[in-house]
Amino acid sequence: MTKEINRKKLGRELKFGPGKMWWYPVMNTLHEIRKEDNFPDNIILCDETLREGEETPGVILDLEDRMIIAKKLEEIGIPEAEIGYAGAIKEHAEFSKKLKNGGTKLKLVSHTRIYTKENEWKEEIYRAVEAGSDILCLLASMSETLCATTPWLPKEEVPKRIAESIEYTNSLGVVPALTLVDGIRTPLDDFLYAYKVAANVGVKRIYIMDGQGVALPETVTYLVQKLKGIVGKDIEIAAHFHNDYGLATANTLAAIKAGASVVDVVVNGFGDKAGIAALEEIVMSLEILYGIKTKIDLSNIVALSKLVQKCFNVSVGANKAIVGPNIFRHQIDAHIATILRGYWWAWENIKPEFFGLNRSLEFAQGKLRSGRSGALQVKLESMGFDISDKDYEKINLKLMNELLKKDFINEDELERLINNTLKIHDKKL
Amino acid sequence: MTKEPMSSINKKNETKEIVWETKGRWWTGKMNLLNSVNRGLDIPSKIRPVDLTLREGEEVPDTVFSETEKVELAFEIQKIGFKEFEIGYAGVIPEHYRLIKRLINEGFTGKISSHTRIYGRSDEWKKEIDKNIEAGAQILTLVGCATEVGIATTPWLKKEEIPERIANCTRYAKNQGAVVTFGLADLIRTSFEKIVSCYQAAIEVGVDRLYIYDGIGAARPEAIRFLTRFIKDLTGDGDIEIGVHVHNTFGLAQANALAALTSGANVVDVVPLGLGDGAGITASEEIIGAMEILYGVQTGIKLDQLRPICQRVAKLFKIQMPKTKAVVGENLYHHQIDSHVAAILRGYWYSWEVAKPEVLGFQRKLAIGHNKLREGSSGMVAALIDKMGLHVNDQQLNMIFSELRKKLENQVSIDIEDAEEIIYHVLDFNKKE
Repeated sequence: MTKEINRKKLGRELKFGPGKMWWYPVMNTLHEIRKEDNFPDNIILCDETLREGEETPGVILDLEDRMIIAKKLEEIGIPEAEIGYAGAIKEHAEFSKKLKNGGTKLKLVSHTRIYTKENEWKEEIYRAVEAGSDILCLLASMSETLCATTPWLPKEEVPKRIAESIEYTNSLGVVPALTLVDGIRTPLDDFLYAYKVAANVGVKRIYIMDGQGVALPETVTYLVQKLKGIVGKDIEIAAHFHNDYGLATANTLAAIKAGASVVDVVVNGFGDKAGIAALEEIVMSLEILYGIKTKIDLSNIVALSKLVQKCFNVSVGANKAIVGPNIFRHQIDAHIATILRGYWWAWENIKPEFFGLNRSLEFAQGKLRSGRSGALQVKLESMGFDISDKDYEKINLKLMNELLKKDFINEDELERLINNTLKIHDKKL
Repeated sequence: MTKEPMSSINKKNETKEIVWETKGRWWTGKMNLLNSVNRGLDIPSKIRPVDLTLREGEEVPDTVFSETEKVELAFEIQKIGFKEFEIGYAGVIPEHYRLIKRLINEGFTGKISSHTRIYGRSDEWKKEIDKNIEAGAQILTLVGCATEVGIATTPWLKKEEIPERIANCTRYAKNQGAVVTFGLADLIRTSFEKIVSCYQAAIEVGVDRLYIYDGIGAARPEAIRFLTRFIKDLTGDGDIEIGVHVHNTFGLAQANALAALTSGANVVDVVPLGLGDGAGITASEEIIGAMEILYGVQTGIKLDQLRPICQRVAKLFKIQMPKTKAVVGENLYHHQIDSHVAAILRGYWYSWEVAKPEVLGFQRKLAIGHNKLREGSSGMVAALIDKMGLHVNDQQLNMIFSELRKKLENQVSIDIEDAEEIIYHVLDFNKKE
């Protein structure tokens, strides 16, 4: 028993995306909710799977793994990839050269330390450039904590080192980007001063980095706005947020919304400790919830996630957003009933077909509700059966017996059970 | 209405960069506390997390565990400080009815709520409420739906009659002595006039708590913030609580819960590891960890027990706890990055950790990772040698590096204790001597 849905009225609640593959709530688009949006014209997704991701303890990648992942990233339209420490780690340099020689379209970013001793930093920049880097992510620190760990470079001398390294990078014809590691913990005046110095000598990109995952979304919004005011509109603002407190996605989106145009992401949110913002969460949120184009081939995101899980030998949680194995499995009676009636959008946001996946409707132990308005009844209707209460009870009983043997039976198995029960019954008559 | 925020954070104990918790067990960035950052937020002094492991959590596909296991788990979760629990649908699922009865019989002191549908046919809704009360539920979480798809699937309840039904259910349940909460499951997709008429109907008959639900996880944080303030405004000056229950479809369950909790809500539905239907809901450990540590808001939960509870739940649910899981994942205190290990060995644990490991029930693990060993005299190996109180020359240092590299050809990582052994070995004297 179902009423037809009034499409016009439905349009006041939700809107469908292209090909009706997903929907978004009208609520997200209200002026009241969008009034502080300040998205950049163009968002650059910088994939860090092969640098930050590789730092997941226990992960060992060989050259072949790196090449396969890089190829897939390029295929789905990722414009930039951080490939490691090409100036300091031999394997990363080799990989970088191989990618360049193969004519990759990816812009290659290399993590490059500038807080090292004497002229080590210069050599590291040189080697990273020699390995084929397009962008150097120069790392320095202005926080008391990290400056204490590099006693050869006192905090007062850091701005000078920043200026020298940016000028040197520029002189080698490569794009300099600056990251204040521990930026979120640096005194605000020092933080702004260091980036001002960098802007004055020609830095092209500056990062807000939260290596400990301790920033709040409001903090991020404030810092992006503050930086934009100081360095002007020609310098890109980039975001790198860790997930120690589950805020990587929130903080990264807050940064983009406030005007950051480059965001670091890792497939599946892997990385050191709790990892950083997950590529799939950022991309799908931007596209579907915020209506922002990313130029990524969205339909391949689940495939990319699986590839990375395989190469890393690390699995995502069962309920991981977007790519978790439970996303298209349904066992709740009411949800199955609604989906069988054709209203997939009642309980799903994206159609499984979009990712080349199948939906799994599972009739499970302890989850089916009594009465004739639930999943079993709708399944019978969809098969064209209009049966008596007595027959219904027969099928229900058989189903319950079946569920004593296993956790759930799928739709095909249920259809067979229904057909068999009704057929046997016919013969008896 | 901010009441002494950051109660656990001692402002006297601050440096230029960070502010330490009263006992020095964790820090928060000073930037988080700037007035310009927190302007307009309504940060409560404490919040109340509601555990939904045995309702939302149980809806994870393939979860089947015995009543005894459920009872044990509920007691364990109670022990870590939870005061309120949603235990299934006692009015329509007999197993849940029995479970609530048994919990009460066995002396469970937590407040028990039961999910209660308001859209049953004719008098079914009354029976559902009766049955819930009979089972012993003290709180009834009434859930309605007023979207087109909701109306289409419950054709026996006309849409004009929904507010009246909400009022009837609320009144009926209140008359029987229950604490009553109400919310629209599909709030994020409901038109404003329906939101007003439905929530208003509950307010007029004395509902105790209103929920901001995002049953599918499709809201932006700004939408949740707006809805929370909107519903809060509807309640006027009354003491109606606002609760939040948000799904994680896009990875925003944490962001959306925070948006509500800093805009007037003070109750949050949680499940360990963020389990639940689909991508699950807000994770207990994430929202409690962030509230306590980053905002200094009290939750009443023992922080060091979050990890054991998550491990217990993972085992019962037969799922693997992801290593990179925020707050409770194994990797949070497992360091392999050269510069991080070096800083921690030199005593600056807070350079790469926010809270001391014991705060969150961890033991720190330091190791030298494959491919992560940096040469030179400024990294982790040098820091380890310093910490061991040894002095080495360049030649000895090179020998140590080559020995470590050799070892790493055959294994993923070297634990720091084993690395010490290797160093002693290279330097040719025994630790015991």
